[in-house]
Amino acid sequence: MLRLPPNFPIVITSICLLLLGVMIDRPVMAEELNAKNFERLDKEFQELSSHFFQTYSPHSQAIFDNMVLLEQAVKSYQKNNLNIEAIALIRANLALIKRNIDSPSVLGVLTFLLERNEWESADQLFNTIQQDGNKIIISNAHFAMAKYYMKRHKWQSSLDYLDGITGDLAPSDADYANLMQGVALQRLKKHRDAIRFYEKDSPISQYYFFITLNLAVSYIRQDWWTDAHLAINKLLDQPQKNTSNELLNRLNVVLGYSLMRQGYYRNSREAFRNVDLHSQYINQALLGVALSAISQMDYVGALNAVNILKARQGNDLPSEEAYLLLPSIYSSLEQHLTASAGYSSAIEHYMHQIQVIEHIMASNNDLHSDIKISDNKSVLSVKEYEFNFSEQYPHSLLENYQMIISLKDKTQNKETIKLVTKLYSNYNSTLTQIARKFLNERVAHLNNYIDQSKYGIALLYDNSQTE
Amino acid sequence: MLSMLLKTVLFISLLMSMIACSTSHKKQTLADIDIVGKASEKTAKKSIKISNEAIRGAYADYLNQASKDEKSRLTAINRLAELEFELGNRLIQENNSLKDNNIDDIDATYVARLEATIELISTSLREYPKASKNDKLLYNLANAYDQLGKSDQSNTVLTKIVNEYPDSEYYLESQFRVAEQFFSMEKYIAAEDSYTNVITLPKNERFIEKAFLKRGWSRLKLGYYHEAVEDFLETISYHGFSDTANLTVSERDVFNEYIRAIGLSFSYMESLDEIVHYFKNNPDLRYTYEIYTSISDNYLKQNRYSDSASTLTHFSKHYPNSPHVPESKIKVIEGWRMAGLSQKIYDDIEFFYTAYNPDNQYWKNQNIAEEKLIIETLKEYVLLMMEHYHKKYQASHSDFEFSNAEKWYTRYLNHYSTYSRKDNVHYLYAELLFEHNDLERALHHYELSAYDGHIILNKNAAYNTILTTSRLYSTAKSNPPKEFLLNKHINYASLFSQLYPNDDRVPSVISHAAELAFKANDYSKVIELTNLIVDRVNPAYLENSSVVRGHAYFELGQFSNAEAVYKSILSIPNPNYSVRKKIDDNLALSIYKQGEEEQQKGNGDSAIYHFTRIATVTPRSDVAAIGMNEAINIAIANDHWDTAINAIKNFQSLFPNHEFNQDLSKKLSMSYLKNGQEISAAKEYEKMAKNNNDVAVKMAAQWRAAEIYESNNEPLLAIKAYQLFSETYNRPYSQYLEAMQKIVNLYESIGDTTNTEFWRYAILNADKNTSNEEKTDRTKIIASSTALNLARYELIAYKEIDLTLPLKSSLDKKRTSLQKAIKFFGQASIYGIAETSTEANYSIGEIYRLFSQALLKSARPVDLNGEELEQYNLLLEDQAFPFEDKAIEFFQANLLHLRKGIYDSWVRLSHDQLKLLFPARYQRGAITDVYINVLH
Repeated sequence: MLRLPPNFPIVITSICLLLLGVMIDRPVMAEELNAKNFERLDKEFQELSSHFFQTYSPHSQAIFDNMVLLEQAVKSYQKNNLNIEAIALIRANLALIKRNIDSPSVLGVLTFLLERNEWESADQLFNTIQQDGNKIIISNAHFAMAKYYMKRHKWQSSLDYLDGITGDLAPSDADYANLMQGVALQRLKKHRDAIRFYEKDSPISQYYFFITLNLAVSYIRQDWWTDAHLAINKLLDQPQKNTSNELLNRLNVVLGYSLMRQGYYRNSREAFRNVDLHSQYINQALLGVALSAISQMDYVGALNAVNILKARQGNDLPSEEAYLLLPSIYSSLEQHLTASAGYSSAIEHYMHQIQVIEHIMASNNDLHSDIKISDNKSVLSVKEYEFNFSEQYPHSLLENYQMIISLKDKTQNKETIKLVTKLYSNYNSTLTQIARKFLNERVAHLNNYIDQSKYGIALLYDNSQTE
Repeated sequence: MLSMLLKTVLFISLLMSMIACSTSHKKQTLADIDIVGKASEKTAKKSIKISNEAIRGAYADYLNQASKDEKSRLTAINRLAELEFELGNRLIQENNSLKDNNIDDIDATYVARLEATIELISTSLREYPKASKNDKLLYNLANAYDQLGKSDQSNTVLTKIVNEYPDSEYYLESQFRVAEQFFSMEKYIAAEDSYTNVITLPKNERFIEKAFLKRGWSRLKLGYYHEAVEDFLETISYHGFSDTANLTVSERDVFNEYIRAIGLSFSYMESLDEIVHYFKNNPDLRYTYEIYTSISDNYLKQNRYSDSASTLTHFSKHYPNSPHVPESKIKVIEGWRMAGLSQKIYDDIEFFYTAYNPDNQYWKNQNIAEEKLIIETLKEYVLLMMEHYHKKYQASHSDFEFSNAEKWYTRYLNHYSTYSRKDNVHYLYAELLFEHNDLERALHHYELSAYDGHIILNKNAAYNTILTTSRLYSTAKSNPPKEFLLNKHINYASLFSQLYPNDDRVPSVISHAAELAFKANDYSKVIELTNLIVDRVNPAYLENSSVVRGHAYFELGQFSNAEAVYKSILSIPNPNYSVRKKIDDNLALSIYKQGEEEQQKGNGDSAIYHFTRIATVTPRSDVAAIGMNEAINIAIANDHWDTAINAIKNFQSLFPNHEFNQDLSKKLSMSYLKNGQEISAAKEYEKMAKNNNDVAVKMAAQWRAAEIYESNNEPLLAIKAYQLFSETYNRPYSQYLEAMQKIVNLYESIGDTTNTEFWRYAILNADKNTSNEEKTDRTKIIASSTALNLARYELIAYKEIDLTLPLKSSLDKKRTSLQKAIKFFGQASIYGIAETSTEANYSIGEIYRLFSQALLKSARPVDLNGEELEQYNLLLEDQAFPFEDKAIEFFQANLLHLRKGIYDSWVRLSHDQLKLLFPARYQRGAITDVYINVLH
């Protein structure tokens, strides 16, 4: 019978937690990147936006007296991606909007203003709705505000706005509101409360998939593994028509790691094996297969998975894990020499990676030129390193940033330009800090891998000597 | 194999990926590239050799970088601490086994390792204060501190375990060690408390015995003696000693330690009666005696000898029936011995002997093992008493002390005779008897001590049997016992010398025994004895014994052996001169005897060899010259001339003044001659002529030497010898003259005319001065022939002188020569020797005739005319005729010899001249008798 490497359980545990952490939980932000700072930045943007639109003077600003016409004009701007013009139009016709506060299009305007973080106008409008709107309008306005705050990771505010409104919302919005409440509660570590909300959802909900997924995660957080697995398997066994493959892949990955943690290695491996080869989760799944195989003492299978993972040459964490896992498998096979070489090679690789990252950080004090933001504004990349931004930081930050850029191009006012430039610089600085933090976290991870490699070597030596 | 498999797997994986890319109709999942196998079989292990240092280095490397959040950090710290601790322990073990110079290095390394261990554990405890196995870490930390000698820190850590980890598996040990620490710090109250905790804890089997013991000691220190005794007894109870008589050494030590603690506790109590009361109240308790002895021993350690004795006496008084009573008595005696109180020892031993000697009734009902022990101890005491009284006798020489000593010897031999040899008692007793001059009994005990048959058991005793038999032999009177003692002495000396050949006393022992044997004419025994030390080189004793040995060989007729022994004695440096002279003579005699033996056997050569080598071996001995003379005689008798010559010459060289020399000189000359060495013989004759006292011998030897030289064609040596003779001995005249004649002949033979003429004149001179009475026919012949010879020379000279002008001068010269020649011829003829007379007469006649002829033929003066010449011629004829007549006269005189029947050549020549000078008378034909011719 083959022996597991002495460090194997630690490696497995370490990797599982790491992956689950990436998928479920978030690390605590650094002091300079805390909520207050983001709130301040958000407020500064709102002030800039206010100032901008006060000084913004298009050649001709139409004043409407008909809400339908106004709505059409706004949509026209939106359609042509002339959001600034649309906002300016709204701001110019805000009185009309307030007078027609019960109009269904008001919610669209509010949502648009909130999405563009034109807080001055949105706040006026929301207050008017609060004062003069009917219950349905008010609830939907709350729903909009809840989404607005959720983008800013202000979970409790979001929950507050969502409280008691679902009955007034359209069914799909109500389902989404439930999902939002569950997520907010999860973020606030209130998993049992979250489960309560999730369990309200029905299988016919268009968010059923996400809700079930989050429900499973909450179960997992409560150590209710069986419920979690049942919930996920139910989803997998009866996928909805609109469920994307990628979501299924994600489910399989979550299920796989969960099963692995419970010691169901064969089932765990089976879950990973269902992941599409072209899925964004393929690296996590390959790692999962490798870990399951190791647990099954199928080292050949494990080596296969790890080698494929390594050959993909990704720079995500699972790919980095492959370097550490490879020598541990050799150690299990009692190929101590190869294992020792593997650990040394891993250390060398990780050190090289650290050097590359440190070079990036050292070569440019302001990293904004190296920073790229994905279209959906969820991924921030610095050179070849990609980070899931939205999982950790308010989505609104990147929206504000992109809007500052667009504002910058739309003004001739020197004062405004000055303000825009300053705020742009502040955002750049913050993003640079975030990028550095991501990179430092990656360095920390790599250092951790180095530590584990060194520990692996020590154990390998110790194990060899005591045989 | 594994790598090949991996390559295959990769290949398949990539292939499948490619397939996935090219075929879109079917969803490709990870299952398509995952290889699901069975649990992998064990591949061939490929291990690496890793040193402990590398392992520690790997952990240290990890810990240097790993953050506190690292999950493996705690494990790594603990493991590294374990490794450091193990290394430290290993180093200290190596340190204990090594004795070389790097101990300091190891110590330093060891300390460093311990400090590293402490640092690591401290780090772990600091970083992970709530870790689950921190009690183990604390335990290890305490050990590390303890090994570093930091007992305070160790105690602090152990106290932490005690206070914070009551459920730890290390709790009990920690509690015990805390107690130990308190105890070592003399905090006895705290120690007692901690030990009590250990005692009351469950599963405390490992520590309970020690806990009771140490709590007892704590209480003892605190003055709670009764409680201490209780604890000590509990300790003994927990230990569960088996029968105390059969304890192992280590168990005995433990037992003694426990009893000592109890004894110590009692000794601090006010009275010994406390023990009695205690044991009365606890009748089941054992070890009463052991406790008493422990108390007693404690007193002894404090030099409180009386208290020690009183304690034991207290025991024997209160427990008179205890089987330990005799043992307690012994301990009392031993206490006195430690105290050095001799009289108490001897008194108590006297009492002890009386009460517990092996014949005493006491032992009838006692344990045999106990009895054996006591009796053996008593034996030692009897030995002590023997020694004591023996010494007293040696100091006083009083009969009283002798009796006391003998009493204890006798007691010993009565009870312990089987040990007597082991304890050397026979020897010591013999010493006592010897010192008391009881030699026969002393000899008996010496013999018992010394021998087992022919085996020596006691060397000194064996030596003393030799001394004693010698002394007894010297005083024995009648022969049988004397002979018996001598045999014993010799036997003991032999045994001793054989067994201890290197003992310094052996030569003297052998020497003495050999002398005794020699005096008893037991020569073979002498040799047997001295054989034992024959190879020993101890000049002092070897000489004595060798002399006896040599004599013994001589007496036994083993002369060659005797010779060898004597020679060996003489090879010893710096011997006594008188002894040496005597040995020299004995040596010579030994060789002479060998010569005699060979001579008797008819082995001349061997006899000569022995006789002659005496002088070589012992030239100073009297026998040397005799021996050599014998050798010469044998050599001459056997015609061994070379041998004889060499021997004689050697003799002459070695003994130049010996009386034999004169005779040997003759023998030598003779030997030379016999050996064909005539020159040497002549020389020897010359030496004899020179040195001999007898003139006749001297003359004869000188003459013989001259003759030998002459006969051996050595004319110069012969002339010298004859000349010496003639110069030394002028009488008898005939030999004297003969010698000179020999000289003349010899000179003449070598052509030395000067010396020939000189000696001829000497002959004539001697003869002229010698009376006729001394002259003999031979002397006359010699003198006559000598003169004749001189005349012949003169005649030749005369003939060579021609009468030339001026005539007067030449005529004078010729006339002188004529006269001289005639004088010698005349002298030759006066001795009436026919042979010389005929020649002399003829020669004189011839001289005259020749002179006449010379005148007639002499040169004529040139200035004479015819007539004058005629006249001159006539004148010459007138002058010449008388001479012619003179010539005829002598020729005729010579013919007179015919009457005496002498008709030699000279007569014939004279007749021939007469026929010429006087033809008328002598030129007639002879009348021949025809008939005579016919008849012939």
